[in-house]
Amino acid sequence: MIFKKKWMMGAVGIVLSLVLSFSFAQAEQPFDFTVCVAGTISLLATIEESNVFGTESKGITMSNHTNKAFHNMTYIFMGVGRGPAGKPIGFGYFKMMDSDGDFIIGELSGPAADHTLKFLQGTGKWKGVTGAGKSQRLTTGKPIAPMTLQSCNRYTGTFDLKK
Amino acid sequence: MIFSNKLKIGVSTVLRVSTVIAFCLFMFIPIAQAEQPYDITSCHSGKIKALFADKEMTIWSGEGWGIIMSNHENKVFDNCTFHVMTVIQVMGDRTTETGFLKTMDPDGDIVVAQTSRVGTESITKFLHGTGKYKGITGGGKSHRIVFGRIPPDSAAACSRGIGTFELPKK
Repeated sequence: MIFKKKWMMGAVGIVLSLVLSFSFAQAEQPFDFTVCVAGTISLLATIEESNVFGTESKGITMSNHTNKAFHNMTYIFMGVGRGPAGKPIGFGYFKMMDSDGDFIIGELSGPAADHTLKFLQGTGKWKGVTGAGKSQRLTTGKPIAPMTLQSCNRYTGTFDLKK
Repeated sequence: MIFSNKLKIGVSTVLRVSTVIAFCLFMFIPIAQAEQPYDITSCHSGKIKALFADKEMTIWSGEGWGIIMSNHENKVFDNCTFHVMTVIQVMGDRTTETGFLKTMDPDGDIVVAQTSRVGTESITKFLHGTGKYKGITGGGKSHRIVFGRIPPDSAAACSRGIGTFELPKK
């Protein structure tokens, strides 16, 4: 009798683990996308060759993954940064919007060339989105006009959509 | 004697043919050296302003700024930034766009090009260059990969462009 009870508890545990791991595997998805932006820089101050600035940029995403997550989403970023020219450390928020008008709000933080991404919230099909990733700078062009920036970054990571 | 004459004619023919081949090679090599392929992905964002709009036709002006990534192993135009100004006309389902773009490489050298688009396909023609691009000619085609409007008055797009260009021999 005791053996039967233990066996049943073990089976329930296995089934529960399978259900949990299956739903987790379904929810978590990888992403790999490139975002290219163009924007402006507003210089607040320069102190000992270190700039303090605000920036606003707009662009669009292209997915590099077969799942095409976050492909063709327009992108706006607003942030602030501090540090020597070309090597600032910054923080800011972005909005990525798909063709249906549903969008995601996230944050970026860290060095311009190697920063982290975190999804904070979403609307419509992105409601409840969570996830994070890291960046890789793809381009480092000379600004086409003073106080402007043009760049592309690649982001890789995972995200969840909790229903 | 006859054999000697035949030999002379044979040598003469070989020399003439060799001269023609050498001339063709001489003419071909400088062109082959000068012409280079490019394969790029260019992305930009910018603003559009409506000049005229009714049910039949809309005309906008567009101004954008962006950057280029090369997909070719020669890395031509990689990391070049650009500024583009265009006029866009939408008439029914047909969208056409004509404009000019200024592309600058990391050394500050510039290429000016003309671009004309019908739908999602564009044709680019190089008009002028400075520095290492002085005397540039050539052009190619590009195809839009992604596009989106950013309300209220902005838009962003990426295109892939493939073509060739030539630089005068130094």
